Amino acid sequence: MPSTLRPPRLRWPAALAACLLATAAQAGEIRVEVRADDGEPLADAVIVAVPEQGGAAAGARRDRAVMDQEDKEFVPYVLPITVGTQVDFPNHDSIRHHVYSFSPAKRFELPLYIGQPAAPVRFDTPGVVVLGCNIHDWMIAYVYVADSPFFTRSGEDGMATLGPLPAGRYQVRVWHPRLDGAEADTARALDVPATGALSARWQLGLKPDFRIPRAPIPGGSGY
Amino acid sequence: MGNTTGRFNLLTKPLRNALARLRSSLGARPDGAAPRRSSLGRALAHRMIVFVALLLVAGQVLVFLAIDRAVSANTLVSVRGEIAVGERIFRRLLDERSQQLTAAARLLTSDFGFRQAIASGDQATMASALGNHGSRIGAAKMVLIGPDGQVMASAGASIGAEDAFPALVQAAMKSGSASAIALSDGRPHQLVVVPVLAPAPIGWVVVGFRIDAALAAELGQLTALDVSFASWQQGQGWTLSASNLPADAREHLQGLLDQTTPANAAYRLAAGAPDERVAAATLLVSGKDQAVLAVLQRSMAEALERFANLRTILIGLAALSLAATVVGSGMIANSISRPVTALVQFAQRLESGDYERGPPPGGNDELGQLATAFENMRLAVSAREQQIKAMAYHDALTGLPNRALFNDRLQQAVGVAQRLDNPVSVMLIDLDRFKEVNDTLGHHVGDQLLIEVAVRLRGVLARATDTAARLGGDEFAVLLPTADEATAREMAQRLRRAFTQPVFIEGRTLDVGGSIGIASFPRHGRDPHVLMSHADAAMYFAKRKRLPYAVYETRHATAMDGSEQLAMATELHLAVSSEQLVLHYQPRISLRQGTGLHAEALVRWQHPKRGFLAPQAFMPFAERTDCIHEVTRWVVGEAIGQAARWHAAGLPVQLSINLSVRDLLGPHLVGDRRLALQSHGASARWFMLEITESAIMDDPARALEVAGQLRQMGFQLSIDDFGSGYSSLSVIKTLPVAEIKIDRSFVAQVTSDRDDLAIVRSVIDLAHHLGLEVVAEGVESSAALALLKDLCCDHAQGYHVAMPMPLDEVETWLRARQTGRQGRPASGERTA
Ligand SMILES: [Cu+2]
Repeated sequence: MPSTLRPPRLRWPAALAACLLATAAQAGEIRVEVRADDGEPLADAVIVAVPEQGGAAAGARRDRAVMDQEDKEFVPYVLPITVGTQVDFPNHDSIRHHVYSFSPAKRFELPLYIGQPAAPVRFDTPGVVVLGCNIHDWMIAYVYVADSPFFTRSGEDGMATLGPLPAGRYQVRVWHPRLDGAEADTARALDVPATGALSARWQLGLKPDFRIPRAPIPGGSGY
Repeated sequence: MGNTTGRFNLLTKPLRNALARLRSSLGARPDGAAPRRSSLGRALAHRMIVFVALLLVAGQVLVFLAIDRAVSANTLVSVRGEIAVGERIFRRLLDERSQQLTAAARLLTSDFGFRQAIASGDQATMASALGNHGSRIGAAKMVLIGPDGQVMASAGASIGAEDAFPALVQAAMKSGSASAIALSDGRPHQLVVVPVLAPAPIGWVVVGFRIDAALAAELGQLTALDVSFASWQQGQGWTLSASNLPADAREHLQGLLDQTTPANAAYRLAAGAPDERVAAATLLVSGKDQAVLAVLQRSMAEALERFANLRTILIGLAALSLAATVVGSGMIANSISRPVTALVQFAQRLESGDYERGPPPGGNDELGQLATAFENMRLAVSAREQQIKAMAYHDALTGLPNRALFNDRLQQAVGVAQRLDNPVSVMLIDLDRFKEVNDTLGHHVGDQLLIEVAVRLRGVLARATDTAARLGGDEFAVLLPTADEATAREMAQRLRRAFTQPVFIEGRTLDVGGSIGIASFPRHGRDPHVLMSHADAAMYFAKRKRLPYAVYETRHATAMDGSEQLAMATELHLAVSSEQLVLHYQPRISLRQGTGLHAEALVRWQHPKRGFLAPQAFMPFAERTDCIHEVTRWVVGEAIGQAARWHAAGLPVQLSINLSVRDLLGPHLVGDRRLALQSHGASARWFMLEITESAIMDDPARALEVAGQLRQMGFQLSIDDFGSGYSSLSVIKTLPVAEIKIDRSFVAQVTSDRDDLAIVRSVIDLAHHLGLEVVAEGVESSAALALLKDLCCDHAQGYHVAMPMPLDEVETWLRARQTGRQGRPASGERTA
């Protein structure tokens, strides 16, 4: 997982949400640990918490996110966003990419381009959008469009912190690209305290990794 | 090894041909049968060649069979090895193919347009994309399975529950791709399942490739084996769905498969007899109701083809070495057989009497030694032959040619005479009184006499071509080629003159006299034997008539030629031993009163072909040969026996028995008679032995001696045929005879011929004067009988008195005579 080798560049959406919420009420945290069913820490898992009462006005925000293409890889591998977020697809390579998605949540295509596309792509439908590049088969990334502003992503150690969250009861669920089974099945109701942290641990069954290996031929003039 | 007979035929056909040719080439020359001697060496050579060739052929056949067997066994092993390797390659190829197909399918599913179409979610679009892209890689079947395992779309074949291939898809979901062989629509397919990645799996595509004949052919080419795929379905059995086998082999395989089930097919195909093909089989799919079997086969015939060349070379080498052996052994055999043949030819020359040339020169080997031995033998045999020849053809005493050489020359001369139409004459000379000389003066004097005769004979002969020979005893012969009868007479006169000169031996003067018989070719006979016998007859005639010589006339001899005489001698001998001879009896009567019964025993020959023969027909011949001894012995024995029986039966008959010259001169006469008398218990007085006058005059001394002995034994003696010879009365006087028989030639005309009457009268007077009785023979009339009685003849015998009669008749006659009541009274009786 090359994308997990380096820390995600932008962590601010969670922080921003936490700021906003902090002003509104008392806030707690959920400390999440995600592991594979063989006990290994699982990175790139998306954890989403949906408050049971008082839905969050997610779509109203005009958030921006970035899905980089660097060294013929999408960065990050998994990008959780909330509904309505616009995502930029800057190409930092010297070659062209052709980004596409056939996912029902967002079908789009950015035909061969170099540098910054003219406009960001806006994701309005919750769901998983799988990104690919028509030139480089191995390039894959997931944009997780969450229907809640409260979400986070596990790190290399499989740890993630969700919050600060306004105290209350949340449906918390976990998703991962290789998740075997329905995402809804991972949902748990958790009561977030006003202060302090709540610990939760998920152990996920995983499907085989179908990611295509990079082309054996080193990137040359053709790319 | 089921195939062995086939291969053996392959071997034996050329071999059999070669043998047949060999046999015919040998058979063309018979070794041993017809010209055995001349081809002895060759036969040896042939036998040698045939033996060596057969030995070689046998050896090569064994080698060939051993190699053939080894080749077959090796081939089987190597074919099994090839199959094992081929099987590994085959599996590898199948794997590779599935990988290639997987890669191709992956390529297909990563096509952007394809993915777009799949992502469209539109059933028709998806199906057409599947069809379109599937045809790009030659897939027979394309099925799109959703992430949930449900069929979303398919192309190329019917969609059914089976097309979901759940297990395969499950496997693919686990490992990213999967491949397997399975039956689809009842046909074997190679199935590949790959994900449709966009770029995460959005579905699974099952790509089916048909396993067809093209694939079988390709795999067959790569593995160098026959590749067949057979599918099995519950209830339907095996179907040969793809194969690169030829049609007949395919049927054969189908037949084998029909006897198997999926569970045991692999084992049974591999373990089965490598009939034509060695097989290995792999079960590619094994399910409850379906199975796919891959059968790999290797043709034994093809594998053996590699060795066909080796076989050809072997046969070629065999033929070559056979030819070399035949030629080589032929040369060796020839080198042995040529001298052998030469020796054989030499031995044949020896056999045919050619002693001139020596054997062929030999080396220092055994054959050379044999040649040397042969040479020594030739010299020894040659020397001995010279000696034998000299002994065989010349008389040792006189140095004259002997009978054999004389006969040779006679034969030669007659042969020449026949061709050139010349005359040839032979003279036989028999010395007079030679026996007397021999007996009285000794053998050495006799020998010297013979030598002197030979000298004179030689002296008389004028020409070198004339041959004088001593035939034996005192018998000489002269051959006068080209001499006619007149010349022969002349020669006889000269001989006569030469013999009139007396011979002086040891102070004695001896007269040499001889009788000469002459016969000339062609007048007296055209055959040498006939000539000799005629000369012989003439000589006897001359001797009897006291002539210096006689030329043959037909009356001299019975009209028998040499071969007839030989036959006669044989027959007569047979007649004596097989009782063809019988005795007849001719009684005689006494012309005076009171004398007893008397008959003369006369021999008759009951010839099986010629009937009854009178003594004149064979006795002259018998008297000239030794046959007479046998005949006389028989006659005397028979007569003595009969006389004994008559005397015992009260018939006191006196019997006359005739003795011939040879009998008289033979050594056994006296002893034989004595024996015969004793065996029958007879008395010598009952018999009158008749001796012809000529017999006595032939050798008076001997006659006197024998007569004396016989007389001493008690026999009475009679001189037969008196008057026919030239006997001197002085001789007669000395003989102890009781009577004389006047020759019938005088008696026959005694009543008409004055001379004969005078002779008969004077003979009777003379005899009576000498105290002898007189018998008149040939009394054929009553007048003669009366006259003879008047002349005081003592006895009469002849047809008028009594005919010669067989035993029973004469017995009747004699009994009648005895009792004085005779059925047919004799004339003498009436006149008495
Ligand atoms: Cu790219």
